[in-house]
Amino acid sequence: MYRIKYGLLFLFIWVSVSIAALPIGDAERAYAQTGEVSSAGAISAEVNVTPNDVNEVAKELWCPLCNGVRLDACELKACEQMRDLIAEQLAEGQNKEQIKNYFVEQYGPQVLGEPPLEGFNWLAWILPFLVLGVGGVFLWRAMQRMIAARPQGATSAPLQPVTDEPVMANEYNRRLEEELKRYG
Amino acid sequence: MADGMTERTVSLEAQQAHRRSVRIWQAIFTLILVGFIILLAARLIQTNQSEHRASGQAPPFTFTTFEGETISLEDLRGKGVVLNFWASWCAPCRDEAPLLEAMWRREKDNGIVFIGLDYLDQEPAAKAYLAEFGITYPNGPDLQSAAARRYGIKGVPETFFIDADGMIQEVVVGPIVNQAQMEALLDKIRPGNTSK
Repeated sequence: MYRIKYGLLFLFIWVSVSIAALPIGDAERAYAQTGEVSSAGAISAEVNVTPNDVNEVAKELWCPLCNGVRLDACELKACEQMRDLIAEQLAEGQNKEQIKNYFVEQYGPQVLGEPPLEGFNWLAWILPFLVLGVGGVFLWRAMQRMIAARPQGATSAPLQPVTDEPVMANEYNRRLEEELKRYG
Repeated sequence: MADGMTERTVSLEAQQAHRRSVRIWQAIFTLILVGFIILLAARLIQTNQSEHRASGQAPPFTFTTFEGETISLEDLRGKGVVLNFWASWCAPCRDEAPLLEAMWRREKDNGIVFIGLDYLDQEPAAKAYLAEFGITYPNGPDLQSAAARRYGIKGVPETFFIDADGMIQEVVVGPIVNQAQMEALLDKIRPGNTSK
């Protein structure tokens, strides 16, 4: 019984820590003033860059003013200006990586939607894998022990007295066998 | 009978060893969990501290203007500094832009410097904005929001009034559109002013 209890405890800790270790969005502030949405067309007709070309780059960048909004889906004017700039840079012949590097230089690595590997942020990268690995090994071993503890060929729980004191159970079995021999 | 006793002793020892093992693992898990919680708490405290709006001594910063000139706050010691965070996509910034430029033109020979830091913006749009309002005081991008983070701004526009000793005297959140308010604020950072 206690094996199941500890198995469940491991599972609970594993799941809790895995959830807690998920990367938390950087506390980049959302601005009330940024809510203005422009209706102007994003891309000039005179350049040979389609909205799909722009979105191909924009979908790999994140709104620097919002939490968890991709640039291709963001309706802020600031994001629209960023998409306009992507169109200009594509028209100048820059590739996706060059454009992404430009935005990282301007706004920081948050624009890629990934926490930079420095300071406390390394936890967000390493901990989920560490917790998954270590927790997985423990769960596997706990399950193996539970399977090994089960009598061979049993299809359901054996009819044994359930107690937290296995020594008492052994004593009970020994006396039962003695009585059976004596009277059986 | 002696065999039974031995078996029971062995079984008892095995049980005790197993319990010790479980206790050790429990302690290890508890330590890991407590350590993790302490790390998260430390990070939370650090984040809260960094999000406070700057006060007292103005945090130092250096930036390069759109024209390529490098300006450091420390080089402006001895002058009053009006530090304005803005962006071309910010509608309220447009409300204060004419007043900021007018005040700069009036005060630039009186020991007061205006500086504009462009927050999370795009250079073409920012330059168009500066041209639209005829802004002539030094302006440049706040690369990677370095100064914005140090000053703990919560939005744009925000304007910090820094005196000749490098102390933040006032912070205005939102646009300054009232000239009397602006003049009162400038008086607080005017070099040689003793009525702080």
